Amino acid sequence: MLYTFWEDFFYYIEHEGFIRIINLFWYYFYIEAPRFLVFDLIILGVVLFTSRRKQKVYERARYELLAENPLVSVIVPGKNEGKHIYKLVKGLREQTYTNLEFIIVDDGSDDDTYIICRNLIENGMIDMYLRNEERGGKASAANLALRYARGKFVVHVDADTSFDRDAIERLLIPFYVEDNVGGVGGNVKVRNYNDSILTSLQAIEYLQTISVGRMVTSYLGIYKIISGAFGAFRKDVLDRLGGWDIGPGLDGDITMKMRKLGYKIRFEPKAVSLTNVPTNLKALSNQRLRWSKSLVRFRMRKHSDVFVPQANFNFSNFFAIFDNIFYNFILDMTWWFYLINLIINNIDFLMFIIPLKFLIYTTAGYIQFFVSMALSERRSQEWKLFIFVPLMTLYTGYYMRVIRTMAYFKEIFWRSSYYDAWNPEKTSRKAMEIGI
Amino acid sequence: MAGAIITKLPNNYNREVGYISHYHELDIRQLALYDGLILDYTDQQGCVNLLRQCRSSFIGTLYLLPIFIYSIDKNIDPIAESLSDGVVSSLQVEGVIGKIDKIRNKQVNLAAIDSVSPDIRIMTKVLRFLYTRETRLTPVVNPNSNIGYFYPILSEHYKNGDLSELFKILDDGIQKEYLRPRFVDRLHLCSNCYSGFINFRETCPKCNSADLVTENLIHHFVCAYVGPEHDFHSGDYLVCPKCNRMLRHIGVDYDKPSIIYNCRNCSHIFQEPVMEAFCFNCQKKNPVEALIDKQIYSYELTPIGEETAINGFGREIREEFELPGFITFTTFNIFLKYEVERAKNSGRISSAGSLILSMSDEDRNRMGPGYRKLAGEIADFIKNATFSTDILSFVNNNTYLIISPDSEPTRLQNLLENIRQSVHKLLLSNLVGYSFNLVPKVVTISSDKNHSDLINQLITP
Repeated sequence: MLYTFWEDFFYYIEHEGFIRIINLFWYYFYIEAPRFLVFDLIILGVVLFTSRRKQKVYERARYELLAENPLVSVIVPGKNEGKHIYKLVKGLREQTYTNLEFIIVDDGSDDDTYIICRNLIENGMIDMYLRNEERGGKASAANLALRYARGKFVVHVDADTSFDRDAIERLLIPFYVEDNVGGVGGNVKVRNYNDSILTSLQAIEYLQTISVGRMVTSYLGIYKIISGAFGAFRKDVLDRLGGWDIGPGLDGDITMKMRKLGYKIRFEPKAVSLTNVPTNLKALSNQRLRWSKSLVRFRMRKHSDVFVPQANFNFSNFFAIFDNIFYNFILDMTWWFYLINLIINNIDFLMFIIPLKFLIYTTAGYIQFFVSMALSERRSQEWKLFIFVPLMTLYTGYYMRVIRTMAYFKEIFWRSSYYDAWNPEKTSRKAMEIGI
Repeated sequence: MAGAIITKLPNNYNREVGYISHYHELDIRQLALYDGLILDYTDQQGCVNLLRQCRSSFIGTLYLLPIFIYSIDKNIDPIAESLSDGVVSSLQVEGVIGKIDKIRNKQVNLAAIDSVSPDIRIMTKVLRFLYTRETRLTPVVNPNSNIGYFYPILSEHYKNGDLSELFKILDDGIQKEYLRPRFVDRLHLCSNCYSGFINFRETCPKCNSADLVTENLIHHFVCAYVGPEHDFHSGDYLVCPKCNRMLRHIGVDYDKPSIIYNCRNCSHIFQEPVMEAFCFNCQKKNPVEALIDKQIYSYELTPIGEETAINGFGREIREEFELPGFITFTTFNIFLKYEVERAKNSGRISSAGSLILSMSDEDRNRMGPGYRKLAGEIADFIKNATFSTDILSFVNNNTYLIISPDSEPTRLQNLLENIRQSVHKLLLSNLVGYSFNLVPKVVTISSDKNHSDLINQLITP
């Protein structure tokens, strides 16, 4: 029986021919593969080819940073992060870059954050602990920290993140490599990748979309999101912008605002932080719904002016958002038509098409995985993830598409991000009132 | 100034009731002859002073003497009133005789007590005062006291620096069930000097300065800007510095989620100032949690207390420690009595002396068991410096007594002075941070002296 299936399967491929197969999976071969596989491979090749030359510039920038030794404010806004705070501060105090001030903003926590932070203050482990009895939302907490930060640079971190010892030093170097850099995003990897299959899949996803994907977009000058978990900003630029606006998606929003002011945004893959990702499907779905809604709310609505030819028009900003909207929103919508079309027109051959599609995506997945491994600084731990690569077809190919589509519809038709409990109702109401 | 004037008030009750209107150069010893006194309050200071002198005496006939204040003015110093047995507005004996009789009748029940321990003597006074008056020991608010309260009879024996001793004796009274407490107030006292004169203030956690300014934080909902209120001030209006919108309605446009402290000394920004308790008395800066939490009670005599007031104590309140080579106080008393008798028979002169180790309660408590060691070291020194014929004793945990038979007082005076100086030299360098003193006293043992008087002279600081 099995033998007969594979005989028929290979007969089907042989019969269809290479060109027809490519045309059958046009969505992948004409749209996704050029952007996420071929293009990435070319750019990475260029990056690696020029890396030795850039090493000198990098070393000089590092020397300049250490010679100037500017004060850097590490700000940690959050609510109910008590269980993470002590480990976070202990970890940050291990950094190779030491001229740091630590500011924790407690946004109306009702856990032990207050007791823990008081203890940290009393022991001189943090410089400032600010507490809002009334929750104001993450943006307001970050802005409060910004108001009292004294550093030349502000490093925004999430409380559940941990860092390589040299992470902050490496995060700051790009400011000295080039002029006019407004912000630098750090590399975010998954700490709890061993917890479940779901966290392992997210670990692979982070490697592909953050570690590799952002390296590419940064090289092309269209890097558009400095992760809230680990990113550095010039304090004077943040002050000029008035800090963060209401989220969700405030990290992407502030990055876009900086880009619009003409500042360069860079990604530093060697500045590595680790974060915990959701361990169950419900939490992950909620997180991704929130992230995807922000694409509509911020990229398509708030920053839609980047598409308008005007005095401040900038091609890299245009492409940064276009890339995002096209590949995430437009192609996500068209994918459903492609899928339905594929099914209807090939209903008799679905038994062959499904495994073939799976085979193609898995092969591509392995190519991407090996590329990310080639670039990874902790491949000895991460290579074990290779057994999960085949499941990525289901994870990114179906699950994520469903979530994204749901989020887009919810946000386009019902503006549901304004009702998200992630923000306090008082701020969401005002944001909706004035349409931001 | 005219001398003291005591007028005997005529009455048919067979009681000697004196009326005092002038207090200058008054010898209180003569007052013991009276059954009761009425003090004129016109010379307020003189009246209060006399009351305090009487009540601070250890002589029963003085501190238990019924004393009334004569004043037509209702405005009497509460401390004076608490020390008196009442205020009268006429000089008629009829008005006070009932109370005098009651006190005197109770006074006759009291057995003689021959104790030298100050604690016992003070506790006896308190118990007997309460017994004869059938009253409570009620604290009176007193701004001049470090603890803010004055206990009639009791407080007279404790200077502001010794208030821990006052609490100790009252606690002893409760523990031994002489007194039953009733809550009056709760105090927070300086851990160093037991003073309640404390300024609670917020200080900077970084530099301890109290020069702080506080400000509200404002959160503007629309643009998520958060900053101190002065960021938003624009004339009479509040305008967001980030988005330039005017703030109109608290709770709708904006709120004030917390306050922020700014230290003007070191520019530190914080929200949790450190509360500090500054003692005006000793100028110590106490952490609030280090303050002594003390309850102030009024005290009522229990049946055991009444029994003790009448018959005296079965045992000493505080444990005394003995020093090797020093005889007990009882034996010392016998020797002294014998020496007085010998002086009467032979006409010879001997001398007796004391060295009182004076140290504040606070230092003594701080020293802990080291105090006992210190007392032992001084004892060794005294032993080595005196003759083998001298008789040595130690009492009250602080008084070294010496009988020097057939010796002139001047010789003993010189000897004690030398000991004092030598001990000072020796111990000063070892007792950094503590202040202490050795006070020498010498009396002549002659045929006309009574041994109890001699003892009283020697042990009274």
